[in-house]
Amino acid sequence: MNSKISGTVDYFNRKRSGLPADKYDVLVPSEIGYTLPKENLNSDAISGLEASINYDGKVGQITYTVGGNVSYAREKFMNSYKPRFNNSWDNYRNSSENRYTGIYWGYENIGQFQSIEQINNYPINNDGQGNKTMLPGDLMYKDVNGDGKIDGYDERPIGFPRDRNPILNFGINISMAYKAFDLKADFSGGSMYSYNQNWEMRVPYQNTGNLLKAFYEDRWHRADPLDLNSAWIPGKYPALRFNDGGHSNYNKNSSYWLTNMQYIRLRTFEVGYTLPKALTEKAKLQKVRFYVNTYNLFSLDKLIKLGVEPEIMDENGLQYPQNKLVNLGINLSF
Amino acid sequence: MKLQLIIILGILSSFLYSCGLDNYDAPGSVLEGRLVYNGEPINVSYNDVTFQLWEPGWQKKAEINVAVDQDGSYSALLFNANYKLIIPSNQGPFRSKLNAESASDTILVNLNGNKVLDIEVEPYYMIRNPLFTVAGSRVVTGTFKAEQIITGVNAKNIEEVAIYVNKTMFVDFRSNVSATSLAGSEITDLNTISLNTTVPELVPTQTYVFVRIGLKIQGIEDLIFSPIVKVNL
Amino acid sequence: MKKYSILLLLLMSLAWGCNDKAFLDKQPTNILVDSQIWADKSLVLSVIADLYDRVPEFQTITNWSEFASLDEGFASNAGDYGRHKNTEYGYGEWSNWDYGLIREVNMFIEKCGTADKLDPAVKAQFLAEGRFIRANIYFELVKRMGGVPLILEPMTYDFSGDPTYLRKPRSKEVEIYDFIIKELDEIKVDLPKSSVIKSRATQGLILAMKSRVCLYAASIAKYGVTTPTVTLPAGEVGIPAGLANGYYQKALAAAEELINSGDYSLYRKKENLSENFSNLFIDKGNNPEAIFVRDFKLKSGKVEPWTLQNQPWSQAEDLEGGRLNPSLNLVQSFEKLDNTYETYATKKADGDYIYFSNPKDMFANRDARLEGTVMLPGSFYKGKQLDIWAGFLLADGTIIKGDNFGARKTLPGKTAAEYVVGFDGPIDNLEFSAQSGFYVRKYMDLAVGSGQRGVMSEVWWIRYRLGEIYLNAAEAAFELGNKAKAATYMNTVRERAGLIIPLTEADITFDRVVHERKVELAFEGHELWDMKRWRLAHIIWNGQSTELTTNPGKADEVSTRVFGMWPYKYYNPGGANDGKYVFQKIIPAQVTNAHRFRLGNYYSDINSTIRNNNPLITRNPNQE
Repeated sequence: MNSKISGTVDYFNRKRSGLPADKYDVLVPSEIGYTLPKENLNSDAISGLEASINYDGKVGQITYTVGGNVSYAREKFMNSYKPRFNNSWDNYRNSSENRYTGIYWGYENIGQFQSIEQINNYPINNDGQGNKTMLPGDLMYKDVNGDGKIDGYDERPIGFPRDRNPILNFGINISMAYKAFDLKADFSGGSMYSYNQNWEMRVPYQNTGNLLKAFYEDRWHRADPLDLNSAWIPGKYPALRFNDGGHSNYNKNSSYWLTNMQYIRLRTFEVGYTLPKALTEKAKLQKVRFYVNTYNLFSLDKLIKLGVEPEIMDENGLQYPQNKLVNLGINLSF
Repeated sequence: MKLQLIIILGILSSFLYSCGLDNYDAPGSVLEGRLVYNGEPINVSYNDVTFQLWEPGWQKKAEINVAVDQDGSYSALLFNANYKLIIPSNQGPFRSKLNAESASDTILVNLNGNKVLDIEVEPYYMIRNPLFTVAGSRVVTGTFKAEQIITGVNAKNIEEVAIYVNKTMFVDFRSNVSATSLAGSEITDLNTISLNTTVPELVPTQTYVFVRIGLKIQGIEDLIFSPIVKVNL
Repeated sequence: MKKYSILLLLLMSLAWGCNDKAFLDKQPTNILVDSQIWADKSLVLSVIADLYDRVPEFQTITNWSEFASLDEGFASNAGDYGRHKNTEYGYGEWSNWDYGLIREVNMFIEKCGTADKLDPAVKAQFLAEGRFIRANIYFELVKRMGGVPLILEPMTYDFSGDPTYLRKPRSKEVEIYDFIIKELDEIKVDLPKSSVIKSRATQGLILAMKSRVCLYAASIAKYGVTTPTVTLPAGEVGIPAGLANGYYQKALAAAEELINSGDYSLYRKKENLSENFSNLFIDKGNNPEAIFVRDFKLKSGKVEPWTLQNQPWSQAEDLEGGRLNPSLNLVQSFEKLDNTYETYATKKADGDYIYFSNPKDMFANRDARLEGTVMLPGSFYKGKQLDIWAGFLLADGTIIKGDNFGARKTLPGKTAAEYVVGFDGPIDNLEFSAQSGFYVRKYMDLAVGSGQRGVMSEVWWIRYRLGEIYLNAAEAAFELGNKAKAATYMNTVRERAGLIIPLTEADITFDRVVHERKVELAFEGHELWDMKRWRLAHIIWNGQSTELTTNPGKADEVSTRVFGMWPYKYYNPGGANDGKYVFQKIIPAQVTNAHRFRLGNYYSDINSTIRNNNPLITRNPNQE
């Protein structure tokens, strides 16, 4: 590259084999009361790409460097020992052979009931109980196989893995200098991962306690809660139930509670001003620089409304967010 | 420099190809149809009647369960393959018919793309000519004929008949707001049976209900029903 | 260079000195090996104590919520409301295939057989106990699954590539019962004859267990004909009807031998018969009725949480309690003292309420076991009176109630707020309150601190007691046509409950037999097995949301949902009946579906993994 642009590209494919697993060439009866020891049988692979690029430039009196990097790493389970399945559906649903790992399975949410009239005339058994627990605002699930009931045969992959680092990670770094000012900023972000809301983030009054503010502020509710015949006022979230994790709104992993995440976060940011040498030399100081820096100043992501930060895995949201720091400082060189 | 850029972009774009959620194909062939008797669907209670699809050629043996809906219809989303369709003998208010091709009650299904397959069975009884009327004070009356289909050595008696009324489209002995039953021994004339039930005050107010007749056969767990009908109160 | 060679020589000489092989042989300090255990009888005792503890149990005092899975009680606990919302029992419910445990017991028996370092009498006793535990496990398996493979030796896979020699088919259900009976007969002689030993096998226990096992086999043979599809052609499930009488005779003989031995007697220590009945379960000192228990001990690490989990909220020693609420279905089953059945009347013929000065008066003149099993409104526990009342009922019919413990409101005509609901509830949807209107009393400890999380209780869990044996004898005698004998045995148990008017021969019917077990053995883990062996389970739990029966003495009445009855304080200042109590029958708000027991639930599902591992195993019927 010419001296202004520099960069790297890496491709990698890490294969592992000999992962412990049960060998079941021989099926011993459960009645012998113990299972056979594991052997080194399975293999998996992570393959991906990392690339970074940097550009040095100058515009008038401003010198700047802009750089970006991206990393894509996808894990696949490769082979297990003589995999066995019952039929083609079992193979599709449960096989890991040569398949991405961590796939998030669930139900697809196709909308919310708009009225009691719609519920009564709905031909699909949405809650498994003849729709008797359904109210306007409740989640409607897609009956993928068309049999009129919502069960395991209607589950499909609906999201990227939620239990590991994002598949795609990227960063942007900027540094600039203008006369006595200097500026540095580092963004990092990720994509191709999911955040799943569960427990306190999904069930209103989970464990008779918590209610997420977002659930209350914009929800389906009756105009007069004491009059069961009053009109329904639409909202975003379903009508509140009390600690009813078994209700069909909450007892399934669905696309409603899953967020396909992308985020970008200003991780470090620093602005500094160096005093003119003429001034500082009088005090026998070589350099005096004032600066402000911050860590985790803000992030742009889809979870802001829910009040959790994007870099957590906990489905119940019960985790401290990363700290936001602002520092003021002086560099002195003698 | 341009060449290098192109190479880099080329490598990058090749990875966009693998951006999907899953690298397996989902099943895409629909096998659907109804359980019928002489072309007429067999109406049952939801989740109670299922049959099995077995797919030979795999390392282990277990069935795919297909549920029969209230109106006798079924639907399964599968991969193309040869299946054996078996209705277990204790399923449904009917007996299976002998399949000529397999010389048993197993039906051989060769699925290659979507397929509609109506399965003929022999019910013990059929509910004929169900008629529902509503009298002023929320009394829903149903009259029907219970036609005995299986006679002879395999015949079974009627244990009881009942009328069920519900707010939603799902109506049976567990999903109802009101039900009245009549013991089989107390039926005087199989050609005209009349049952009525009173619909209680519905909250929130509803001006219509769904109603069905159900017939329980002695010694058989699954009931046979009439089609679901919506009546205005 | 010279420095290095000296260093090397020094190192090598050290290594030479480390040639002590024993240095590399360390004895484990965290496990005991066979040679140590089988030389010391106290170590063998600790092994077998662990095996005694692991015999599978369904409903027990360490597993309170399972008592709410049928119709005896309501689960007043937020995480368990689902028990009253399910539309059916899954076919896998109650399933057990724990052959890992069977293997351990078989290994114990095998090793015990070769333990020459033990004293012969001690060795014989341990061997008998091992066989007893194994017979017990097979009894638990056959109750749940029907006939199972009978494995009596530890099997080992030889890694030859061919496991077919390990595959055993399911025995017939009757073969398992016969095996259990035969084992019990054979081991009896090696067990101590002592009624003081209760947590280990004794000769008395053999007779007690034999009476239960034979009775179960007999009922399945007799009542199995009402469910002809609950059988398998090769006999893995179902017992031929012709064998019923033989088993009834064996059951009766075993029960009578135990009763007549005089080693045990019915517990009669307290004058107040209700107190006597509740004391039977918590009095561990010289209890003449308990035959076989699972014992607990304070400060030993083995304590039980029943009192902690069920104590009345108004006097709870910790921040929980009140979970198992007996249902009105059960409470109304207790007869009046004149042997008649009567549901509770809340209103008079003219439609007005019946007023009670004390809510307990509603339950007066009944079987003493009612108060001994259930904490009624107005009764006492640990010296304090319970505070169960649901709110105020005004003269115009409106109800003022609270939505939390200690709720206060101002009643019309008053200026200051006052409590409007009892500290024990009932409050719908509020866990730990008496949502059915009752709390459970059976097995509740009276010791101070038994309701604290850090202390808990050492009350035992009685698996066999003489009261049940009398009922086993009565049922067997009845089924054999000897109603006089049945009446005698039943009357002995009933007399202890205050029902002193004896039943006559003509009174003994199948309904009576079923009913007596229900009220005597409530919350003792018998209901599911009894209803299964009488083939009543699919009739009384038929999935239909019927109203509570008005005929509690009839065995086949539908009972698919749990009901409750709430007392209210009548508020009519200056008028008649102000301050008295009235009752309303209710259904708790969390009970939204009716229990459904299908034919496929009589014998639980043997899952496809087990059947794929051993193709000889046949699937249980009615589950496809």
